[in-house]
Amino acid sequence: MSSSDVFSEAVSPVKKQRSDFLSDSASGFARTFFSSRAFGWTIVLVLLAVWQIVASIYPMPQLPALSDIYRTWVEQVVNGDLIVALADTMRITAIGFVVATVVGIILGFLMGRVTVIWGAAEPSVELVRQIPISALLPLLILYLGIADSFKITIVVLAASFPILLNTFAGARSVSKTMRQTAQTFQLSWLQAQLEIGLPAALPYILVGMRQALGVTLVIAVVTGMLAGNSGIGYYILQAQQVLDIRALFAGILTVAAVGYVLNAIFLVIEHRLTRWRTFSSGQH
Amino acid sequence: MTIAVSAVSKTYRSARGDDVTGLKPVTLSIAEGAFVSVVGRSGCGKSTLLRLLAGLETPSSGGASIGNEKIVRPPASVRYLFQNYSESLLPWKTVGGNIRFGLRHCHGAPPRDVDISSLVEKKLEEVGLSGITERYPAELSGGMQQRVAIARALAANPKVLLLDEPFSAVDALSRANLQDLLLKVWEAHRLTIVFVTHDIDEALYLSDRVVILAPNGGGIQLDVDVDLARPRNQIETRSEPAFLEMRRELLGRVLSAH
Repeated sequence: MSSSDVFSEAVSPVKKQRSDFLSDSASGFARTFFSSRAFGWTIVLVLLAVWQIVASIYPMPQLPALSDIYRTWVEQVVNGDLIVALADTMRITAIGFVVATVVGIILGFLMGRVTVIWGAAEPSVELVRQIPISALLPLLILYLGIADSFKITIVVLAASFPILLNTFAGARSVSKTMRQTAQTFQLSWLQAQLEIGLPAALPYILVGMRQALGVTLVIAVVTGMLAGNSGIGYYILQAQQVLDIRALFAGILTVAAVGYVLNAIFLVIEHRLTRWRTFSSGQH
Repeated sequence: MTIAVSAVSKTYRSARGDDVTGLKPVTLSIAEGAFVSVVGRSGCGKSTLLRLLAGLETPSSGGASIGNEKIVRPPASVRYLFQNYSESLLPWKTVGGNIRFGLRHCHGAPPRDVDISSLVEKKLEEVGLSGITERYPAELSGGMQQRVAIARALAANPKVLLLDEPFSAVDALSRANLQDLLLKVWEAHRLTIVFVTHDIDEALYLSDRVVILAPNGGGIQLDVDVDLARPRNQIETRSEPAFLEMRRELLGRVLSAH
């Protein structure tokens, strides 16, 4: 999970104003720079530069220079090893994410809006939610082996709950006034859910999906290691076993970059879909 | 459509488990096309009465009907304007989207073979708003939001409009404009209006008839006709001797009641 993921969660769905602690003392440029992520990216670049310099001055096998890692990375991309591994992990991630989204939204929304379904499902959901995924692994390997079905099941189990819980909260967030507006406009139950319940829950659903997206990638990588047969997790594990530290780093940095990009894309989609929230603190 | 209220009462169960009177039995008949205001102190049950008419609450005893229809659920011919308009407008839809919501869920047959976007624009013009179809409700002032809520209600082609302190959250000048707007649409659409307010001046200015409820759900304390000339005017009407006399009389009754 990348850092922007964590912080976007902390301020979402209730948008907060950016802190303005520098506003009195600093000039325009400094204020913009230090309160933006350009500052953070500069720190990242400085740290990478320090890494490169240290690794060049004191060569050591456990910390290869970035330039060497990059060379290996290009090599592995060109010969297809890294791409095949990544594609496999992305396939597990995508299938798991889609299934978890469908299950999480439907169950979470119905639990939030239909008392009977809440009563029927809440104990099971709460019980299963408490079980650490790691505790289920031996059982699932026993049942499903180490095929894709095992990996996808694990990913779905891990990713469903953030979506389910956030969707539930969103479905519960519909105000009494809004529900009564639907009643006085003669909406049927289904119309009320489609025209009011779901749009009202959407910002929450998206936060849940974004949390789940981070979890999904992490779990997909781990399942590759556990099953030990494919994916970027297996790629990293193999690199470690043959002490190919450059390939090991190439794998790790690839996962970090992919996670960051996935999250960034999701944030753009999320912002588009909930553009109306931008005005929530609007003037009166 | 005539609204008939017969011995309607409401009792609530408090958190401690004992019964609390929300409204003692009220009997009332509201003629078609009338503008009736219901006034009283907080806790007198005026909002409860309105919500019973809207079918948003069920009476503990008695019953009410609109036309020939007994009110057991929100009647199709009625639209309700909430005090907290910002929670009633759909925040994820633009102003135009909110009006289309009203057109889509209207009383009677939905409009056909017409240009919906020009219809939306027309509905907004009627409430004094134009060129804001693409804006979101949160971008608008409180007074403008309540105008959108009125336009959305009118788009649904109601026969009866119920309003629960609709202007109490907007500033005084916007409130005067909204009052005049309401009188205009009441006449143009031949609506029957029941208007709940705690403001006696507002009730007198708008209404044909003012019903005052006794404190603590005590039922009807006073029911008076308002014979002020129409069209009404914020300055002329409010300084008429008849207006001032009624105001003095009603204010005295409300303040002395306990």
